[in-house]
Amino acid sequence: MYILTTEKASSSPNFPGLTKAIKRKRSTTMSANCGSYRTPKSPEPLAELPPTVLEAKDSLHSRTFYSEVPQQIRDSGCAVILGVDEAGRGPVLGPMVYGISYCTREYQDEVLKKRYAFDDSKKLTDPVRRDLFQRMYTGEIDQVGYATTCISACDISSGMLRFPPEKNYNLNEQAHDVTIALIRGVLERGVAVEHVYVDTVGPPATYQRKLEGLFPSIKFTVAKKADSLFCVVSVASVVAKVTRDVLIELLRARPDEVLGSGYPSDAKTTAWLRSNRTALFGWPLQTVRFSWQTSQTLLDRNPDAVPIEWEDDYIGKGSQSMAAMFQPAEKAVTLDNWYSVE
Amino acid sequence: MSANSVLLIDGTSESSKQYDMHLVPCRIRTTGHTNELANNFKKDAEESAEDNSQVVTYIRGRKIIGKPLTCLDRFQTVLLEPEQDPETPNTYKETARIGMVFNYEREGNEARLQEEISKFEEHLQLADVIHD
Repeated sequence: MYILTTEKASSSPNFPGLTKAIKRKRSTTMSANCGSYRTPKSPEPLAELPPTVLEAKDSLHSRTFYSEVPQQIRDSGCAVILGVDEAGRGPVLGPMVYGISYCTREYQDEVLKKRYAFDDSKKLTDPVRRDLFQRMYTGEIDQVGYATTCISACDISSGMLRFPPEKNYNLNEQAHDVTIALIRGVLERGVAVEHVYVDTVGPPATYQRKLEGLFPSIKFTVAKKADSLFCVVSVASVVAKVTRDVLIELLRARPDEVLGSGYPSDAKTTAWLRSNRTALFGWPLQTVRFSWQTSQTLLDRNPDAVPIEWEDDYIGKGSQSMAAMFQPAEKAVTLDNWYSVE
Repeated sequence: MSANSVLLIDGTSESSKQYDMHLVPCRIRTTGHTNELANNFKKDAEESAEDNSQVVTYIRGRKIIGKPLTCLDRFQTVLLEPEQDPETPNTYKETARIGMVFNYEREGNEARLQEEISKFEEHLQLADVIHD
């Protein structure tokens, strides 16, 4: 236990500086109110921010966006295929974005494959990805529905850092739950999904069995590198990747701020982490995944950082019992000596 | 504080500061002022109750869930600072007043939060019995 005192700003006991953004609703359909937006390095500006970004950009928590179901999908009654992919699983910065896209198999084969350059998002350049996604949300590619869930850095961290450890909500569980919810959301919108293709980094077989159990009327193909194998997954990968990239750019406090790719192996990212850490709280909660070893190590090795010890730190350390946590290193006021007991 | 008697100097004035107090489930190895609370120790409005019956905030990515110690409503909680004069040991000066006190536990460990509050209420009731 430790004591923090916060200055009282008004008659209502509260924390300072509440943000309006975190009161936004959780899910919505496409908004027409999009401002123009120029990305710092892409040669062509996005005419307007993607609706997936507008939904998530100021939120501390995860947000989901569903596009409207294309009229042709509603009217045709044809069976629909759906692709699932993610962007930003490994980075220490920013959200992990799950994207889905769906269309008829005929539209995939006759239009998307023949007229557009959808491929594994990592194989496409940033301007190509943005151009493709922009064609989707501005209506040129009008027979593809899509949705995203942006799992915020805050939700990733807090889920993975619950206590006791058996309560941890690990990244795989978070990813699976989000995928399941996205598929369910499309079904609830009346889309007759016949076949779902899922790109996965984990073992495909067990994940496929889990999904088949939950959605017995749908055929599933869960595969590694599915974004390279199935066009509808490539579309999902572009949706997810562009959404994450723009969200990362919007995290910058200044236009010239360089965050890098967000991957721990990126020197620009680690340089940003080093130069922006503060002694007590470390980094902004909405930006950094505290559950990543990279951020924990950077805090532990920072001589200027205030050491903060949690119960987890005392688990499995032999003679260093849990009670050692409550031994004062300095004379400080804590709950154990605050009243009656020294 | 020990069981020894202490002398309390009334240092309150019109300009006395008022704080809310937050008992957090970790050991922070520093004591002193920080400017970081304003930007980082914010109530999560989406997950907290409007009437502050439950507050949610974060420390280094850990979600902590707090409840107010309403049992302290009948008391005035004060912040004390020891006097530096060696001639007057055990003398403390009131430097600020505490408004609400919140006790926190980690997300996943909420059962302990209620247990701690119950024990603290029991402690106050016992003190009442002893001193009445």
